[in-house]
Amino acid sequence: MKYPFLFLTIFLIVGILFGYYFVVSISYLIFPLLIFFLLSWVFFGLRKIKACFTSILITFVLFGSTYYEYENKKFNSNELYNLKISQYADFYGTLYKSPQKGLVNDYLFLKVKKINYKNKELNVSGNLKVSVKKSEIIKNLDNFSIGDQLRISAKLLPTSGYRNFNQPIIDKFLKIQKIHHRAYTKSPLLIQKIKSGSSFSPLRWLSFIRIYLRKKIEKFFRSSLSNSISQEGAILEALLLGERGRLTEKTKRSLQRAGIYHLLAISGAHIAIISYLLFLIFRLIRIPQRTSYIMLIFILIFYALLVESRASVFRATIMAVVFLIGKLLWRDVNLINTISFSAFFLLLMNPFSLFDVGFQLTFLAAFSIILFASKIISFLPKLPLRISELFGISISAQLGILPIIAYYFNRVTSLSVFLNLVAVPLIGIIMSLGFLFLTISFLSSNISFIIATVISFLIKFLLLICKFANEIPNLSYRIPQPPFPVIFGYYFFLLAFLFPKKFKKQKLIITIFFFSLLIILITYPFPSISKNLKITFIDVGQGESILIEFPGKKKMLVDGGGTFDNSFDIGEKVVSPFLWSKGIKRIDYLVSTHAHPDHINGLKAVVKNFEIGEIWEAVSPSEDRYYKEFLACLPENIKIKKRFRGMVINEGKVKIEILHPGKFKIQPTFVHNDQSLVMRIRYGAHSFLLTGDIGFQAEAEILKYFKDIHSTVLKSPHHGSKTSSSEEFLRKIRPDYVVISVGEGNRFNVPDAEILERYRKYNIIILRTDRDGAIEFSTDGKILKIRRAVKFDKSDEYDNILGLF
Amino acid sequence: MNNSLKNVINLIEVLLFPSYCEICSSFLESFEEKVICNECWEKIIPYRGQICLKCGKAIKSSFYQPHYCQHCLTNVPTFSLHRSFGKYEGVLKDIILLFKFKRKRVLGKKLGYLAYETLKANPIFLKSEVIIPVPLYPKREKERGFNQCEIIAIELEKLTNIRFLKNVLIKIKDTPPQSVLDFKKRKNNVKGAFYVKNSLHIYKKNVLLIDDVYTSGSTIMECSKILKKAGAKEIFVLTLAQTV
Repeated sequence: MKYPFLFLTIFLIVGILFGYYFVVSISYLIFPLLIFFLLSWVFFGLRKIKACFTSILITFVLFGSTYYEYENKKFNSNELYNLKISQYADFYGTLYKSPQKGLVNDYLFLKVKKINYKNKELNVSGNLKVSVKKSEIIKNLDNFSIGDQLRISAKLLPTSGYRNFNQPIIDKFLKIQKIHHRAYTKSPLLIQKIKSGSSFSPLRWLSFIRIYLRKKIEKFFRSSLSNSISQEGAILEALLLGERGRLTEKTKRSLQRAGIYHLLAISGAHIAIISYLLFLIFRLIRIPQRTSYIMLIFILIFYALLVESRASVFRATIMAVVFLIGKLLWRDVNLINTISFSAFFLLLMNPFSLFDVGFQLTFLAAFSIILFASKIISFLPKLPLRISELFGISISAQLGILPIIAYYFNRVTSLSVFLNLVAVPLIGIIMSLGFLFLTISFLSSNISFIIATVISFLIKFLLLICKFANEIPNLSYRIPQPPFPVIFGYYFFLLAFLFPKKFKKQKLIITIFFFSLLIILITYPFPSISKNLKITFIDVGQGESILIEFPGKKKMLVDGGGTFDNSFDIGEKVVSPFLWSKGIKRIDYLVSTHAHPDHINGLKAVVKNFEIGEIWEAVSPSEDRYYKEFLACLPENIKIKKRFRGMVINEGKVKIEILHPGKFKIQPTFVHNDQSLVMRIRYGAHSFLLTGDIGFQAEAEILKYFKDIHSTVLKSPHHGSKTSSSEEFLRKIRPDYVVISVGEGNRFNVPDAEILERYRKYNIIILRTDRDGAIEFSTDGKILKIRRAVKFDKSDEYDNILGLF
Repeated sequence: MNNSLKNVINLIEVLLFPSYCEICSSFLESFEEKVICNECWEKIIPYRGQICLKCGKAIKSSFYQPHYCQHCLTNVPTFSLHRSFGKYEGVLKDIILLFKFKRKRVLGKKLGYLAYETLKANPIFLKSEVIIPVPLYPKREKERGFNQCEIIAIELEKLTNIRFLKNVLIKIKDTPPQSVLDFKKRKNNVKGAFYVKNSLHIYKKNVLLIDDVYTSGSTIMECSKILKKAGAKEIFVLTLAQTV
C-alpha cells in the first residue's frame, strides 16, 4: 500500500461527519472505540494484517466521532460562548495573535481570563475577537503584540448573524477558528495594557518582526488620496504576511470575479514559489542539496509562525515539510500520502477545520493536481515556457474545486484557467521582489523605495489584467447552489476516469456522464417552481427584504436590506445566498419601496447577481445619493415601471394591488418614508399587506381611498416605530399576524414597546425577524402555513399560539 | 522502553513514507532499511574463485597454486596488491550505480562495510597507514554532491582506525568518465589527470587507495604511479567490485 494515510484520513473524516450529522453521546462511542483499538492490537500481534487494518479503520471512524463530539461539547459549553450581556464590560486577558488591521475596524484576539461586568467579577475563559473602531489619532494598537495582558472595555456582539433557511449562521465560521464570542469597542482608548508579555517568548519576537514588517509596507505603500495604505500595499501585505483585512470590497470582487483571489491566500502555490526561489539561491551559493533541505524546513517553519499560522499556510507548510523530511530520511515520498497526512494532522489539531471552505479547497485542488495534471498535460500540445504544464495544472485544480466554488461562492469562472497563466508567474515575481524589499528595507530606504515602485507597478498591472478580463462577458457568472446529488455524481465520474484500463468499454459512458454533470453544474438548469404562494421575510438585520414566490415560476423581491455605511454588503452576503439556496436565477419583479439605505443598499448586489425582469418603484429621487448608487449598478436597457395607487397587476391567480402613493404631479427629488410603495398581495382567502416605511399620514391616506383592505398578514410599517401602526389602521386591517423586520439591539429602539402593546391589544400574533430569523408564509389560497428559521423551546409563548395553526 | 519507542517511530515512518526496494520492489518494513531491502543486500557475496595474486582478477586456470595473471606478468603493476569485494554484476552492480548516479549517499555505509570485510580477509591491508580515495574533478563532485570513494574511505576510517587523508591526491583534469571509453583509450585519458598536493603526508608511508570499480585498472595504475612518485612506500588498492 503506497498511501496508508489516505485511508486513515478518509475514515477519520467519515467519523467526524458522523459525529456532525448524528449527535451521539460520547459515552456510547468510547466503549466500541476501545474494543476496536484493542482488536487491532490483537490482530497486529497475530500478524493478521488485513483484519488489523480493517479494525484500525473502524477505530478511526469511532475516534473521529468521539473527538468531534468532545470538541463540539467543549465549545458549546464554553462560558464565554454562552455569556449573554448586552452592555459594555471589562474583559481581562492575554493577546494570542498579533493585532490585525482592517479598513473600518482593527481586530484583537484575546484569551479572556475574567470579566468585570457592573462591578461584579466573572471568572470566564475563552477566545474573544474584538473589533476596534479605527481611529486616525489614537494608534496604541501598534504597541500591542502577542503575550500582552490587556483590559478591553467592549460590548459583546450577537453570536448568530443572519438566520435564514438553509443558510449557515455566522458562529460556524467563528467555531472553525475556535473563537467563542465577538465583541465591539468604539475606541482604541478603551483598551489598556496591564502588563507586557514575557520578552523570552519566541512567539513574541516573531510578533514584533511581523508588526515591524507591516509598518515597512505601510510606510512605502501609501495611498495618494488618503493617509492609509494603498490597495497595492494591501495586496502585498496579503501576499507576504497573509493578512487580507485591508483589501477593499472592490479589489476583492475584481479578483474573485477573475477567479484568482485564491492566489492571495498564502497556500500551496506560495510555499511552492518560496521553496523554488530558495532552492535557486541555495544552488547559486553552492549549498549541498541535503543541507538546503534542512535549511528550507527551518525557513518554512519560521515563515509559517511569522504569518501566525493562518490555516492555509499551515496546510501548505506541513505538506512541504513532510515532503522534505521524507527526502532527508532517504524514503520514497508519495505525494498522495503526504497530503493525506497533512489533512489528517490538521483534523487532529482542530476537527472543525473539515467544515472550513479553505481546507476543502486546498485539499481538493492538491489532490486533483496530483491525479489529473499529468494526464491533461499529455493531451495538450507542447508549448514553450512550460505554458502547457501551467495550463494543465490550472485546469486540473479547477476540475477539483469547481463544485465547491459553485456551492459556497455561487460562482462559475473559467477566467482563472487563463488568468493563472499570467497571474501565477506575475505573483511569483511580485513575491520575490516583496521579500527582497522587506530585506532591503532594513538597510537602505532609497533602494527599497525603488523596489516598492516596481512592485506597485506590477500589482497595478495585475489588477488591470483582472479588470480587462472581467469585461469579457459569460466567463464569470453567478449561479444557485448545485444540489448535492449533482456534486457527488460529478466527483464520482471524475474519479471514474482513474479506473484501470480494463474498463475501456465503460470509458465512453463515463465521459458522457461526466460532461453532462459538468454542464448541469455550471448552468443550473433546474427551474424554481413553487406550488403555493410563498412570502418570506428575510432576516437582514436592521432593514427589510421580502421574497415573494408566486405559484408557478415568477419571483418578486421587495427591497434588499442594507447597512447605512455600506460596511457590510447585505445584498451580496445575505440576500443573494438566500435566493441562490432556493435555486433562483431570475427576479421577475424587483420592487424598491423607497430609496433608504436599509431598503435599497442590498439591491445593488442583487441586480448584479441575478437576471432582472422589471423594476417597480413609485418615486425616483434623482438627487438621493443611495438612489444614484443603485442606478449606477443597473444593467442597460432595464425596464423601470412606475407603480401608483389604484393599479392592479394579476400574476396568475394572485392579485397585486398598489395602495400607495398616489401619482405625483412633480416627481420629488428626494424620498421620505411616507412616499413608500405599499402593496397588498391577495391569493384566495389570504392577503398580505406590505407597507414599506409609512407613518400615520400615509396610513390615513390609504384608509381614505380603500374601504376593504383586511389582510391576514401585516408587515409592520416602519419596523414597528412609534409613528406608524395607528389604532385606526390596525382596526381596519384586522390582521392575524404582524411581521416586524428589525435587527437585534438596533440603535433606533424599534419595535417600540407601545406599538407592541397595541398589537397585543388587538390579539395580533407578533413575529419578529430579530427573534424568529426569517419568517415564511405559505398558502394555497385556503390554508396558511408559517415556518421560522429559529426554533424556540416548547415553553415559548409564540410556539403555543402558533401550534394552533 | 527504548525498544517500544523505536517501534513507534518505525510505525510512523513506515506509515508516512511507505517505501519500496529500488532493486526488487519489495516493501521496506523497517526504518533501518533505506532504499534497498536487507534481502537484496544479503544476495551480494564475495567472489570465492581463483584470482590473480596481484590484481585480484578472476582467472580460469588448471594450476592449483596461486599465481599472477597474464596481464600482471607482462606489465607489472605499480601497486602491491588489489582486492575487490565481488564481481561487478547483479545486485552489487545495481547498488553501485544507485550510489553513484542516483546520488543515494545513504548506501555508502553498508558499501563501506563490504570494503571492510574484504580488508579483513586480506590482513596485508592492515599494513597501510593512510587511506586515500580516488578523487573526482571538483566540478563533478559539486554536481554529484559527494565523492563516492571518499564516503567509503570515511567508513573504513571508522572501522579500522587507519587515517583517511582528504585533499592529498587531487584531480586536475576534467576527463570524460572511463566507462564511456574503450580499454585502449582509457590509459591515455587519465594520463596526467592526478596530482599529489601534500606529499609530506604520504612520504614513506603505506597507502590504502580506494576506488569503486576496477575495470581496466588504468585509473588505479595512474594514481599509484603518482603516489609512488610523491614518495609513498607501498600501495594497496581496495575496490568494491571488479569486472570479470
